[in-house]
Amino acid sequence: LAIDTGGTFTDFVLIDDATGVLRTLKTSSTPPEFAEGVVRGIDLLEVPLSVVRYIFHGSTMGVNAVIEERGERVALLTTRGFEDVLEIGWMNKPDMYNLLYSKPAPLVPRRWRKGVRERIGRHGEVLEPVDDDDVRRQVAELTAAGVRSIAICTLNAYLNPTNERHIADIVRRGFPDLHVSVSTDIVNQRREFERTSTAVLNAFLVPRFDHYLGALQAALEQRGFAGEFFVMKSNGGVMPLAVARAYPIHTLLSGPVGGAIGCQALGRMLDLPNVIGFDMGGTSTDVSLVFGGAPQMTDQALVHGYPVMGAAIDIGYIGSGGGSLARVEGVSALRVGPQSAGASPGPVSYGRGGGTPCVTDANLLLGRLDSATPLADGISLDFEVAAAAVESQLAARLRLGRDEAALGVVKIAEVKMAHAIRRMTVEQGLDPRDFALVAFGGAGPMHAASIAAQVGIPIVIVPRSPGTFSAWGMLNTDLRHDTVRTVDHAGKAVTLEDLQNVFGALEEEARVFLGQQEVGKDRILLLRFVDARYKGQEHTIHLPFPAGRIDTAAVDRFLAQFHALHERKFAHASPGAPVEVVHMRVAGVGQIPRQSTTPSTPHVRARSAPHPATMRHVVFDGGAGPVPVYSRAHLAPGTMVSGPAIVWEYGSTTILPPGFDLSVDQWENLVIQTRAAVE
Amino acid sequence: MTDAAVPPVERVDPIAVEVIHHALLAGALEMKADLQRTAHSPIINDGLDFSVALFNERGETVAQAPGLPDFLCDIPTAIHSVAHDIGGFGRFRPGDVYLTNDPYLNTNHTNDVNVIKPIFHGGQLCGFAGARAHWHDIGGASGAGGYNSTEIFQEGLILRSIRLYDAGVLDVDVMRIVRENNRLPEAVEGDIRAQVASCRVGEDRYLDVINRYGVDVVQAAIAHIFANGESAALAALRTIPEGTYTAESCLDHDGVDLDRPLRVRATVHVRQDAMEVDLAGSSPHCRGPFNSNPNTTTSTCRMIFKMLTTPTEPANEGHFRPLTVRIPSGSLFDAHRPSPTKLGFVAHHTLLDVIKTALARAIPDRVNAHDYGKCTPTHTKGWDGDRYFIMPDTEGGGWGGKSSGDGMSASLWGDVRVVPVEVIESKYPVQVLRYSLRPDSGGPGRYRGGLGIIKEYLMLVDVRLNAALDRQIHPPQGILGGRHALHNQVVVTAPDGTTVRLPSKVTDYPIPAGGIVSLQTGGGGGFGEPRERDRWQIEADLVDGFISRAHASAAYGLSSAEGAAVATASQDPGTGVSRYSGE
Repeated sequence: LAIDTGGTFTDFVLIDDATGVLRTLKTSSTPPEFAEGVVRGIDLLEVPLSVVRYIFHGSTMGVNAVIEERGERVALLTTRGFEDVLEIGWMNKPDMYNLLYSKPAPLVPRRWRKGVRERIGRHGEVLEPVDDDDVRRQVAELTAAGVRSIAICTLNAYLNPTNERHIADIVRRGFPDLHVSVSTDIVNQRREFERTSTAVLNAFLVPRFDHYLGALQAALEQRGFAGEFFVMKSNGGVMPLAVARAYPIHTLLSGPVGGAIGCQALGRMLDLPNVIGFDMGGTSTDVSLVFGGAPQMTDQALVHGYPVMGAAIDIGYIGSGGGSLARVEGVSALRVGPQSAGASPGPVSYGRGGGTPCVTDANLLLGRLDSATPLADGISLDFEVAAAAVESQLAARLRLGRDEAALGVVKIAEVKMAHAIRRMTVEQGLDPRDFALVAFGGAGPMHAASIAAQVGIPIVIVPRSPGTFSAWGMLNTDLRHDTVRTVDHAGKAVTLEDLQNVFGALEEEARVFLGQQEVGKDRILLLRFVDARYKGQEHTIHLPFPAGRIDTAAVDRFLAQFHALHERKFAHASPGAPVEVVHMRVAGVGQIPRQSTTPSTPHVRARSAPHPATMRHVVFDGGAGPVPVYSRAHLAPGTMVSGPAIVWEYGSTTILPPGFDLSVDQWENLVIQTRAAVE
Repeated sequence: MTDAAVPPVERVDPIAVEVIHHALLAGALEMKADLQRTAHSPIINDGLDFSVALFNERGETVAQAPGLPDFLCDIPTAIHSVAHDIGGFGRFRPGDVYLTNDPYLNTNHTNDVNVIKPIFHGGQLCGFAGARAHWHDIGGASGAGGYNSTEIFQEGLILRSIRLYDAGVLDVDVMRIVRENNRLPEAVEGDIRAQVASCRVGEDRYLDVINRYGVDVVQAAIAHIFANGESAALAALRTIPEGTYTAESCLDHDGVDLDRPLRVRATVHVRQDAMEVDLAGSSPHCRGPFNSNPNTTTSTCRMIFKMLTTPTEPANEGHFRPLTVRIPSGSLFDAHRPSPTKLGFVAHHTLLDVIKTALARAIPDRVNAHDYGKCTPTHTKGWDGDRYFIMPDTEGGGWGGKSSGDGMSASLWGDVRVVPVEVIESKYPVQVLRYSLRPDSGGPGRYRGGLGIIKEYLMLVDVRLNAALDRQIHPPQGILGGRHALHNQVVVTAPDGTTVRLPSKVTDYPIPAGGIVSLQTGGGGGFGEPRERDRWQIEADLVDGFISRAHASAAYGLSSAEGAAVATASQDPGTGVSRYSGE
């Protein structure tokens, strides 16, 4: 069972291991007591929990808590003299021409940021041990002020966590009711502001998650659940519930990550190692990338302006979706987004008070959406008001026809998304022609074919139930624990021996963690990575380090990969120049035993399209006319459809423009290719 | 220079224009990513001291990626001056790459080097890619550049219209000249490679667009993009009341004549369809390195114009058509050979404060008070064993208060990040003793200025310090009744415990191992009368230690008994007041 809790809806996907039968359900989320909504959904599924072996759970609750800054009285203990690191931050001003800009307020006010006497030196030596009495006195003051959760992050702790751990011990012994978050327990990496911010965010989330997961666990046990409960992590893996209660920071981006893992699993199933995940919703679009069978990772994310350090699947965010507003600026500049109609008031055609036309309104005018068919949330679209808005606000001012203006809106929105995908591929030295685009989310399948063609992606796949695809993805995850060590300091070069020792230690750390989760040795997979650069550069590139024996041959293989990757990414390389290793990483993966979970029709017979459910007048670039509309439920494996056509299903609409062909594969995915590609 | 050759705007499909515009902007952003991630100088990859853009065949900026905010459409002069030097645009050849860093024509100072690559399509010149970046060192009298030069020759190598690639072939002699005149030859070669690669990326993207749409359509679309930019700027300009507005302020001195302040004066004429900025009344050019050329001064005025009109749009030439800048000849802003120009840009930042003050009464809701004396470059140099190092540090400070609230604390200029303490300690032989906000530094006001910072370095080896923290004698001012902020300063404590406050610019100031350097940046000016500040805000500031009880009393009239009550009711207000800030 997979449960994906969003701010508005909670999605459930249940799969029967033996039969492969899939069930999906969408219920309303119930903030702030999210556990209630989850339990209600489980009851609606009418499945005895005693037969459920695994529950996989992802949620955007953490992100929502940060956005609404609904949290806790959180305090910070740090090295004396560095109490303001959290508020000084990067010092940057991203909105650089805005004279009235303000940076996000720190999550811990200055009065609750306390300096402790202690110091680790630049080589990791203890310059000054912790003053125990000082710690106790400061924490006593904080608890008196009502603080319930405390983060600890001291300078240079990434080199030597002795002092940080000692402070944590004193706090835990003296104040057992306090939640304690220690920076190097979360991520052991250089850069004090990012590490502090990460520890503080964890401290901010802990009381809330501890409460939520505790309540959920109790309710599930009461309903007879005796299996294992896993919580989705930003790194694409899962962790056991007990770990999640102490480290909610690792769940922060777990919502969109389910989609990325789903793309990886779907790619494996279809033998496509390179996949771009395209999840388009109402206000924004998430793009993820699977290359060579592995999701592309990043080591830092930004959540509502606050940095979170640690391995995470790289999710490209585009502030453009179905709700992006269109307007005319200047003489005749048609602009789409970044402002969005959101869920409220929503598009003009929702008739809820929205006055500015958006992408969804344009789709309605072009016949790609239908006023006769209500959307997932039961809303019917009003064609006439959308037409009037596009006519008066766009078409008249651009001196274009109404359909031309609506087409323009869709085209510009698609161009923006095409560029975002280019940024994640071409800019990283990856050729989009080697990829398949997996389209999901409410609006993804509507624009995917056209965007893929612009970027040069030859194939588009619309999976089953695109609306709950992220939850389906969660069913395919494994336990994952990432470890990192910063290894370059004070100008000392990394030796072969360092590589052996540090990888050895990191692998042991990962093995111990997975061992504690009772993962058998034969199910543990250890992956090595390195962040490296040319000596003298500041920015690093992330790449795998060869498995097996670490010797000069392995180093040579690694160096060859580094030069090649630098050339591919940046259009130049210096094969003779010295290479510096900055961070070493090991990802420990504990495979969760599961049967092959997807049914397939063994012998797929090509068959032509069934009789369309209806015909609709649809406008495309270059022509308009009646277009067949199929219900997805009627498209059996093997069905071939030629564009133009529309495939409708509950919660999503797939657009097949002229010049594209669609086939239904043995797993019931819609596979879209340009006609040229098919021939 | 834009009208005659342009096809009529009506003939272009507005949808195609927007699509082409996005494609060109995406190309410029790709150039930025490439340069930033592969450059060697930290001032480029962390400090973003660069500018990358794509240009049409006449060298006009079509799409620029954001770097530092004051670099706006400022590479065209570099393209034009190279064209002039080589005998016209017709002399560019496919595969050529030029270097140019003429501080009287096209850069702030010698360290800023432009790399220019002409783009050809079907044998015809159709555009340019340009990447200007700040090299950490460029030779000269003092590593990374000194702050007391009196002629340009002390400021390093001048590369005027030098062909680095001749029809695709690297001129190794040029590279040798550059390397042999540089204290950090490896870094400078890495930076050049990154700049050239960035231009190649830009060229590829520009040609992608041209191949798809054709030269004629792209040129017509560019004319359209300019027209849209101009119209957006005009629409915003019409919301500023017409009139003539004047203000002035002073920089401390030019680093050479220490008793002579430098005056920056601006008169802004606002009309419905045009803005003119006249710098008459500003000081004549000076002996020290505070001179700048009209091109870079104009670029700064463009930045200010943009802040007031179209702050959110990506910039192109069209946005600046309504702006005229008058620069009096022989002034600070009209540098002539051989005047030094290393710190001319510091006066540009003062110009922003002056123009905000001038317009404060006309548009009080759209400007903030003076910011801390922005741009506070320091370079600490020495030998770490057998390795020569230059440790750069430019710290943020407080920004001016505004009608919507207090000014930002500890903030830099643009989307630039400060180097983390843990990175500094891992790279250089120093120990940072303290990195904190500077209490009492924000200018009092109904909305107070943001706070500056205090950063203390313990030097572990003998070093020499270059530092230019202006605004020490003339601190950042408040507006509309707000008061001035605490100024920048640098205090050095010798190993024997004696302390000395340094003058506002020092070059190669010796500090022995065991010495402590305390960098203290100023706050922002206040907005509105301090007596109108809400009482709860004053109390919250006391509890958080942003202000001391003495300051609450002196600036806001809170009696010492009231201050004591607030302090006792709360907790220890944090790190306390600086050792140095009480004078």
